[in-house]
Amino acid sequence: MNQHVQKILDFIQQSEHLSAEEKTALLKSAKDADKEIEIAAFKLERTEKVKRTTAILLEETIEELEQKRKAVEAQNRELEIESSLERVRTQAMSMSKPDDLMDICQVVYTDLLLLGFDELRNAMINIYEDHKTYFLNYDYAPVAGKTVTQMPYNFHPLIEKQVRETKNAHDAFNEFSFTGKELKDFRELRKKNGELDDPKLEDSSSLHYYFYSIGTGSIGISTYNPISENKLNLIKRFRNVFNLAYQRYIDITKALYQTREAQIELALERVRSRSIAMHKSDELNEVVAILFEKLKDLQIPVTAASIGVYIDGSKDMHVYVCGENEDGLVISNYRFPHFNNKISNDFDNARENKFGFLSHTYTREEKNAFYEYLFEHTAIMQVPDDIRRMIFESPAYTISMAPVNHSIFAVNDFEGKVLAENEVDIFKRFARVFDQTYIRFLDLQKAEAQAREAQIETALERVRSRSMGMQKSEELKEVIKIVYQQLRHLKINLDHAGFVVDYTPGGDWHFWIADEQDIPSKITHPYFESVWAIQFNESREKDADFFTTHLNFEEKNIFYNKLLSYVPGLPEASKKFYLNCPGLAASTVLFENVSLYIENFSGTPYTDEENTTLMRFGKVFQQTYTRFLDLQKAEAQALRAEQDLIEIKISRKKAEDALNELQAAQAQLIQSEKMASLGELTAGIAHEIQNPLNFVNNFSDLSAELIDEMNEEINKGNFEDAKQIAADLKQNLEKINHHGKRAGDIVKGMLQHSRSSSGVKEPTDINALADEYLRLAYHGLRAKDKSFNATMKTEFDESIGNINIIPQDIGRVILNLITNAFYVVDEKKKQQPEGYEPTVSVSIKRSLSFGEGRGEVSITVKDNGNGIPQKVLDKIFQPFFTTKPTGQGTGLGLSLSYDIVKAHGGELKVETEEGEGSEFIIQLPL
Amino acid sequence: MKAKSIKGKTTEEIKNVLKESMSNGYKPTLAIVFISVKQDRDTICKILTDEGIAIYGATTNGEFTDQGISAGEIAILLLDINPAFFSILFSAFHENNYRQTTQDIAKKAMEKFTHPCFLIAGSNLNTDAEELLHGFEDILGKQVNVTGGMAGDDTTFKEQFVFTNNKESNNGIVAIAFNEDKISIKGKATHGWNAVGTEKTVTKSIGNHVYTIDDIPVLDMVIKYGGLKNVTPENFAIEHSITLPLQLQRETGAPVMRAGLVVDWSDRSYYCSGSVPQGSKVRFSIAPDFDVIEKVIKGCEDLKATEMPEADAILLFSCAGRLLSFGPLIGEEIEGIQKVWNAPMAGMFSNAEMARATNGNLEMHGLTACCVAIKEK
Repeated sequence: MNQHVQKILDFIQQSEHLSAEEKTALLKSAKDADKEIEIAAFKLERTEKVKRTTAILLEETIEELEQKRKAVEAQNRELEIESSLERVRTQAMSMSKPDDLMDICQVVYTDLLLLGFDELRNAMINIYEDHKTYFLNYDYAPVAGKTVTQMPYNFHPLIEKQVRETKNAHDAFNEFSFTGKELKDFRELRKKNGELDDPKLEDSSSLHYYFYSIGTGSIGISTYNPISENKLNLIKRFRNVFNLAYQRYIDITKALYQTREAQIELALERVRSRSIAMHKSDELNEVVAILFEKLKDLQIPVTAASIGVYIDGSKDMHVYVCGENEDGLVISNYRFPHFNNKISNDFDNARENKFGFLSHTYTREEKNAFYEYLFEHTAIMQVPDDIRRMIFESPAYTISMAPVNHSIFAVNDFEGKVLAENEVDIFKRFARVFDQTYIRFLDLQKAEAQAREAQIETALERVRSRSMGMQKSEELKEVIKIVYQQLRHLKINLDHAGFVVDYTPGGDWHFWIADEQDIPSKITHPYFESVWAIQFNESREKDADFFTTHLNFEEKNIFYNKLLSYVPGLPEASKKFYLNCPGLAASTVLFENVSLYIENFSGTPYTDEENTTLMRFGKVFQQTYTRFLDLQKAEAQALRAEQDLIEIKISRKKAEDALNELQAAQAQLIQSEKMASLGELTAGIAHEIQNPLNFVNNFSDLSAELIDEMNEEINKGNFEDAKQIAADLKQNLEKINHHGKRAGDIVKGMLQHSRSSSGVKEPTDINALADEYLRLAYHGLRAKDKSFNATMKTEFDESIGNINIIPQDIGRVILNLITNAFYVVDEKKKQQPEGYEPTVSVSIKRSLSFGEGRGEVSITVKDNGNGIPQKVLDKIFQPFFTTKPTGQGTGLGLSLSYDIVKAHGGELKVETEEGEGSEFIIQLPL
Repeated sequence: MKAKSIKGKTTEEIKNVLKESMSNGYKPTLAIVFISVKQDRDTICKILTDEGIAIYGATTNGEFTDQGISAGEIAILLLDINPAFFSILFSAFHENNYRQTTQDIAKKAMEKFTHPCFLIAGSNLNTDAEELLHGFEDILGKQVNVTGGMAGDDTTFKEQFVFTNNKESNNGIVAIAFNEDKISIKGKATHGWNAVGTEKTVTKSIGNHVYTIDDIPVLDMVIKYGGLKNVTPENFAIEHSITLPLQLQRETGAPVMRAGLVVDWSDRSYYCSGSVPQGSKVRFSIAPDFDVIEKVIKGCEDLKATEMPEADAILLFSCAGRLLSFGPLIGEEIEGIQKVWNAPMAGMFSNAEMARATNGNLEMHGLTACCVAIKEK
């Protein structure tokens, strides 16, 4: 409790003047007071504490506020700087051309002043270009305003150093200053360079330069006094902002350039592609339109664009020109005649001197004189009136022209505007592109013509080969079909092609037709008058080889109604087709007695080129027709030949019959020959048989006697002797049998000889065969003529054994040769009986030299007669040739022998020497 | 339900007043005991237990009833609440298992009541009271109704106790689980402190141990703002930090108060009444104006008007810091609150207060007056 209150309490309690109630009341009051004092003290104490804390916090808050204020100030300053930078940025961003750099300098200058650069003299941007000897100094200073100065790199050593240090750098800084005499000298130098002197420098002791690099240059300021580090940093920030914007400007400029370039390229590409796509010169109309449009698109000031194509062998040009009026593009083309006029002469001059580019501006009068002539003499007169008015009312006239190969490309402007340098470049590029593509077009035209020619040649070749392949005249319908197809293939518009053949004036018309309708391929009708027929006849009379026909709907139908009346059974659809078509255009090529024509029912006349092609087809057809005629002839001949053939067949039959008879006769003759030779043999055979028969008879007789003797002995009972006699009998009987058999063999051989050949080869002992026939022949001759005699010699090769022959045939040959040999030696003996020894020798040898087989057997019959005279030697093998007296030989012996040997695959040769004898050699293959 | 508050300087005195209060047949079933750590808790427990009264007890930094404020004494609020409507749950903490402990308590309460609400008291300065609240929320959801305070020790900040009839702990929790279907409990936390100075950032902290704010040792900050000079461990009174508490900004709801209770001189940090997450924003606060008392009372009047028109009893957990800050004026606040409902009241000056923040979550507060009105439905 508060001491004072306690004292009061004590006082109250001790007071005797106070009643108990009063004391209680007072004590309560005192206690309440104490409590209040306590509270007040507490409050005071706490308030003190809070005050203390609050004061501290206040201090802190004030400090914080101060910091905030400073921060705000800094922020404001920063905002100011940022605003300035923003202004620089905005200015730089709006740059559209290099000179705008001066505006940026001005903004930099103004804002640096605002930011407290009191010492500022000017703001500069230097742009370096490597290929130049100077750099450009863009400047803003209040004294001189906005300037741009060409500063030689070596203007001053310090500037040179500055350029060196900041050039191509990203973050270079350079500063330099002038004082005293240096400053004075520098001022003089500047004046000499044509720069305005700065009078403020009179009062200034120094001049300071500060530059920061910007890659392709530098940005900086100059001041009358040195500047602080802070300010330098600020300039750096200006540099950074400017640099970004400037880079952007450069990028945009580059991009714009590229965009422009892309636009130009695109435009050129359009021109290029259109020019390349050209098929006809007429399309130059479209090309010039595109040229004009594209030049306009690129904002090149042109009133019209034109292409003049030189006409070969002339100073004239074919001009394609495009301009425009309110209705759109106006394109015209006309022949531009060479005439004596300033403008016309300038064109000539440009062409002759091959100038790359020329631009002339003409006065109103010159222009009007030029156009007055053109409007009077050329198709330009057809241009709309408003254009004509514009041409004549325009104040001036400029032509920019680029002569190129084969042509001249020009644009004109009727206000006399001259193309700017970059526009001229674009114009030239257009000219170049047009030139390249136009040359290509010309090449293309050439190539296409060649291709077309090849196509036509191929088509003609097809027609030619088909016509050459014609076997029958009927095939002409195939030929016309091919003609039709090939012409269609050549994209010639035709519905119908036909040949007219065998034309005779007033006679029937013969047509061979090909088209898509069901019309017969061959029509013949009597002559009737029609436009076409009249033209046909007139042309023939005039010896013309070609005419064209154009019929309108009615004319065509008059003609076709008549024509179709000669074509019975034509389907309704086909008739309708012919009659419903709008017209008829026909081209007809005439040759002697034949014609080729094509028709289309659209009525579109054929072009010269198409007609020329048709005529070429006609020529080929003419050849075809010749072949057709040949075929017709051949067919007529064939008909005759057929008749002849029948006659021939009859004759042949007769001949064959005769031949059969002949052959029968021949067979008889051969048989006769056989029989003749048999006759020759008969004596020999008889002689041969006689011997065995003698034996048979003798032994028979002897045997009869022996039987008698035997009977006697038996009767005598002398059986032993009887047996002896029986044994002798048996011997005799065996001998009889032997000789009987021998006779049988001889007869068999004779029969074999007379028999026809079996035709079957069989293994035969050639030695035995020859020996047998030798003896038969000898005995045969001896039998006929007892006086005959001859020496026979044989030389057989026993190693030969059997060979495969037809024995009767070869036997006959051998017999024939031996008989002949005996005959000739007998004849010679009769002539030379003394000292002559007729000799016939037969030798058989085997050799391996004949042919390619296993070898051969040669049978040689040699005589020492008179030989064969040379004159008859060639004939001896001929049938019916004989040297024997009539009735003694058939003349078939050697002939048959020859045939037999040949039939055996062998050879029959003769070697003879007159007076010495002959040698017949049969060579038979093994 | 009838409540009576009794108080006494000694156990004997309590015995007598208890007897006296029960003389007319009043039969309390529950005693909420706020007792100075100097008092004989065992005897008090025995007296009450002998009378068959359940105990919710906590040591204090000063205690009071509707009869006045005292220090070093005993204040008891007696309630004749139906024993079926409440349950005393007690648990000591082990290895900082704060959350687990209250989860278990919540589960136990759930076994008894469909909708339990809690009045709790915890002991030990290291106890993370927020974790205790989270434990309840884990089991019963965010809307769970929990109020209470942390036990004190006559502002020595050394050892505090919570207790019940036969148990006590210097590191534990005592809780009354009420059947909220039968008993209505509403709490209102108001502090009235004014944040001053700029917002600062807790640059280093672990739980309730705050090291630096804006990289300055927190103690240096307190010394600076307290205007203290020549501070040594010996001459530094903890009231310096308590009267310059931190207001911890929450993402939702009103800021909560954190005051330094124990200083660690080795690094000039301090331990707070509750956790202060590292990185959180704080402002220093100065004691409220004296008219804040009216504001606190007004807050209670609002509670009365809107949610709790009548109360059978009133509990008040008022932070010890308020006692330091309001000095002789604290009585006005306590009386004012009591007069709102004019019901029997007991309370204590606590180390921390637990209640739902205005428009926010359950919070552990500091320097706050946390008024709890109880009414049988």
